[in-house]
Amino acid sequence: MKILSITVAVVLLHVPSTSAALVPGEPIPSLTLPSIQDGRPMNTSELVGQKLMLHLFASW
Amino acid sequence: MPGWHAKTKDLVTEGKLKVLGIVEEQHADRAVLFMQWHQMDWPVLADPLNLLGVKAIPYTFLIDEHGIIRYKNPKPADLATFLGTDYAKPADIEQTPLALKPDSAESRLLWGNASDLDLAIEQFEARTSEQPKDAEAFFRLGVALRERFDSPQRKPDDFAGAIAAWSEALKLKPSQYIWRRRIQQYGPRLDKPYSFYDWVVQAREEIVARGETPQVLEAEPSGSEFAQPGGRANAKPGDEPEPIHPDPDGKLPQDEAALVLLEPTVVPSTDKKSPACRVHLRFLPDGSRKVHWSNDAGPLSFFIDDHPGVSIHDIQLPPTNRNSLTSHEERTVEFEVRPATGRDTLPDKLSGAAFYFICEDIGGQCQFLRQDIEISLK
Repeated sequence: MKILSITVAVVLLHVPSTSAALVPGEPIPSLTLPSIQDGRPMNTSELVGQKLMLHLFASW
Repeated sequence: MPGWHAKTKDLVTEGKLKVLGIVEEQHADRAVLFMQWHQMDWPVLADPLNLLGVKAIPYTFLIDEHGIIRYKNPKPADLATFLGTDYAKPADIEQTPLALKPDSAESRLLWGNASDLDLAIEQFEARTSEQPKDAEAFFRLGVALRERFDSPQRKPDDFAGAIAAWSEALKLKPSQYIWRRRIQQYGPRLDKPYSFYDWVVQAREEIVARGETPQVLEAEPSGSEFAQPGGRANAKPGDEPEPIHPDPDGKLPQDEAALVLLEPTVVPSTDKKSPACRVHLRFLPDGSRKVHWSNDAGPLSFFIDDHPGVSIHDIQLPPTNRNSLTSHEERTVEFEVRPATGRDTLPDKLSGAAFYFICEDIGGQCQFLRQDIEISLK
């Protein structure tokens, strides 16, 4: 348990400035973002468990 | 997206597929309007800071039941294959969460309130001065400043600061298409103008025709967010008469007491070969002076002094506020400046004058004032 908590701490300290690897073969990046509809947090990997289509887009 | 939505609607209803969206956009509520327009109901998350680090959009991914990406920009045949495949669980899945510390600038912007946004901006500013090559930090600083600009807590120069931060980010990473579009939204129209938000007009019409209320947008698109010059999401043709210069001899009193504050922002072209720029002039009655616009007396007008070195395009004046006789809202004038034919640079500055009716809250005395303006284009 001690080792696990140190690992978690290391991950949290690093503020991400690099891109997620969005390529076939890689896992979906796990990131918590607000819903555009109601602002509530949702993690991108919450839908893992079934087949998923993910769109990265903008309305423009 | 609407294309894929039509193909996958039934699959979702039948439980064979889930759909998720992530928008890389400054204003998430515009994506809400877009989803409403196309009647797409799958969950969409906002990534205004581009934490995913994508350099272009749109992308579509197919992800299997174990969370592994199997296809990037699939064709319809790929979707059929994907749905028919039972993917084996990989031996070990190394997924590094992109976790944010709760007191990081990013967390504050995504989850916090107005004073968190102020702190986030300070943190991003500190990061950019400690690490002047951190392109992402500059981009995120710009996003935060523009967000504060669009909020009631706006501070002077937030918009100009956003443009400067985004410009620095793009200079450090010129291949970042999303960052480039972020500046182009507010900059001079390209030779092939990009249609950012022309769809908003049609979307609203169709939503209303269905008997629904369109999502209200926090910040209305304007200026070069429309491909067509003169585009505005809520104006009708023939709205305003052609303005006539009220004071060619310069006899009107100046607004010496600065009852109306001016905040200019000049957005350069992202194309280094093009010297064009788009000027945004924001006029705001000074809240501490207890003054207001007089809307029945006449609109704010603005005139640029002739300059042989430039041609001016797409002058957009604020519409008359017909909702009330008096108001305090900010009013924006926008226009584009290009070198005159035969020239390839812009002058250092342009001059002009704004004219407006401004009244005191107490006593109601109104004046028609002139504000001479010098705009630095460098």
